[in-house]
Amino acid sequence: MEYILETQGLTKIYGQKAAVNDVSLHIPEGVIYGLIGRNGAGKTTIMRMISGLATPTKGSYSLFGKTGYAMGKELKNVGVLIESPGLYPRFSAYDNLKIKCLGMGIKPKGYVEQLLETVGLENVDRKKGAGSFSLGMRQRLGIGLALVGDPKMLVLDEPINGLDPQGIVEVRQTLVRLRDERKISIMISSHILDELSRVADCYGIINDGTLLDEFSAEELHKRSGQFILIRTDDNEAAVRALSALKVEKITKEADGALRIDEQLDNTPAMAKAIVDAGVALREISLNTISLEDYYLGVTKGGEHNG
Amino acid sequence: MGNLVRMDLYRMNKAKSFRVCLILAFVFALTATPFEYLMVQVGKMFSTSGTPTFPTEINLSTLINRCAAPLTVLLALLSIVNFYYADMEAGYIKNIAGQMPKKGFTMVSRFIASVPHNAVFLLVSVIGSIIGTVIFQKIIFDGAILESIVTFLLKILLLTSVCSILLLVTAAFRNKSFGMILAVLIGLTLTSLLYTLVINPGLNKIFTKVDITPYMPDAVLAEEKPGVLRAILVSAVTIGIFLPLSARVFDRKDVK
Repeated sequence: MEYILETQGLTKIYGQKAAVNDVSLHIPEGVIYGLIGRNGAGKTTIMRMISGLATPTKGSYSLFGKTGYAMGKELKNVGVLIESPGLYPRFSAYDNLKIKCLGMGIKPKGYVEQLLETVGLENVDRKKGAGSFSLGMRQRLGIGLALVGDPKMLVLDEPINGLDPQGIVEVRQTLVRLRDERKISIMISSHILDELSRVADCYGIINDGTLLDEFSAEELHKRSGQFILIRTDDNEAAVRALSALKVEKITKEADGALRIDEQLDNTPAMAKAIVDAGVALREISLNTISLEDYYLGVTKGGEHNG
Repeated sequence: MGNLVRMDLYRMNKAKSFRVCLILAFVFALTATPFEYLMVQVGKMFSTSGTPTFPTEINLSTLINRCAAPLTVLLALLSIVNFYYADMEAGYIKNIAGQMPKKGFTMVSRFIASVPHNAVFLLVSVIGSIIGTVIFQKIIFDGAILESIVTFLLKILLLTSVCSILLLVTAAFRNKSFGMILAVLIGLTLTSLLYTLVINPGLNKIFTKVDITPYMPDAVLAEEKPGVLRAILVSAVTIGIFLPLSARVFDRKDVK
C-alpha cells in the first residue's frame, strides 16, 4: 500500500523522558487518520515532528515517499494546526490568511476569499480582529491557514476541542469535504472519540509515547464485533426465557443490562420469548463496540504506565 | 526566501508598534531643533556670564549625519524587537516555519526585512529634523552631501548589524524581555559604559592598552561620522556572526 506518511522508530526525548518512543505509523493517501490517546500520550509531539516543527531525537519519516532533503521540500505540502490556532489577534481573518499566502508565494487576491469561503468565514467583518473571534471561528481560521498552499496533507491537533455542537458539525463537514473533494489526507487527534469515529478511516492508538495499535475503520468493525443488549424488569425470568432459545452466552453488565454475544440475527425471537414469559421488556438493541470501548480495551482503561 | 521577506514586510507594515515608533521617531526629530532653540532662549534669560548663541544656519550634511540620534535608534530597536517576536508571541510561526525546508529561513527573512525597516526610521528622522530645523535655521546645501549620504547608508548598515544581535536574543532564543532590555541599553548608549567601565579594564588586565569600543557596532553607530572601512568591517563581522548563529539556533530548536 502507498503511504503518504510513514514513520520509522520515531522517538522524542525531553530530558530523561521519552515523550514519543519508537513510533512507526502509516497513513494511506486520501484518508482521515485519527490519532487517539490520553493527555500527555505523545500525540502533539508526533504531530509536531511530522510537520517539521520539532526534530526527532531518533528515527525518521518519509513524506509522499521522500526522505532526507527531498522530504524537506515536501513539507510545504503539509498544512498544520497544532494546539491552538496561531493567529495575529489584531489582524483580520483576511490579513492572517494574506500573510501566509505571501510567505508561500501565492497571490492573495481571490485566493484568500476562496479560503474564507471554504472554512465558512466569508461573511465575517473584514476589519474584525481575529482576537475577538469565537473559539469556533478561530479554529476554522486555523484550518484555513493550514489550507494555504493547497497542501496534500493536513495535520490537525484537537481541532474540535472546546467547540459547541454546531461548531463541531461545521468542522466535521469541512474535513469530510476536504477529503472527498480535494483528496487531502488528514491526520487528526481528538479526545472526542465518538466524533472522531464519524469521520476517521484509520486509527492509531498511542499511550505513554508508544503506538499500541493501528487499524482501519473496517478492521475496527471486524475486531470489535456486535452484541445484543437487553433491559428488562426481571433479568432472571428473561434469562430463563432466552435459554429456551438455546441462548447461553449471556453476561450481566454493570448497569444491570444483559449482554448477548450470539444469535445476533435472532433479536425478534428473543423479544417475543421475553414478552411471552410475562417479563416487561424495556430495551432490546443490536450494538457495535464503540471506538471508545476498543480504545479503553487496548489501553487497559486508558491507564498511565509511566 | 523572497516570499518570506515579502510576508515579513507586510506584517511589519501592518504592525501598530512599527507605526507608533515611526511616528514617535518623526516627532522627536521634528522637535529636536525647536527644543534646542528654546533651551538657548531660556539660557539667555538666566545667563550671567557670556550669552548662549543659536547658529542661524546649518549644513544639510550635518543634519543627515545626525540621523541616528539615540532616541531614534532606541525607537527603531524597540520596534524591531516587537517585529522579531510578534509571530512567536501570537503562535503564527507554527503556521509557516514547519513548511520551510529549514526553519532558520524565517530568521534570515526577518533580518533582511529589518534593512528597509531601519532605512525608513533613519529617513524619517532626517526628514523630521529638516522640517523642524528650517523654521529656525537656514539649511545650507554644502559640498559634503555625498559624503553624508554615505554616512547615512553606513548607519543603516550599522543599525542592521545591531539588529542581528537582537535577532539572536529575541527570536532565536525567544527572549523578548532580554531583547527589550538590550534595545534600551543600546538605544540609550549605556553599552558604552559597559565597554569603558567593565570590558576594557578587564581586557587590560591581560593585554595592554586594549579598547574595544571603536569596534562595537552600537558604539560605531553612535559616532557622528564613522570611518567607512571600519563601519563596513564591524557590520560585516557582527552580521557574519549573529545571523548564521540565529538561523542555526532556531533550526535546532523546536517551534512552540
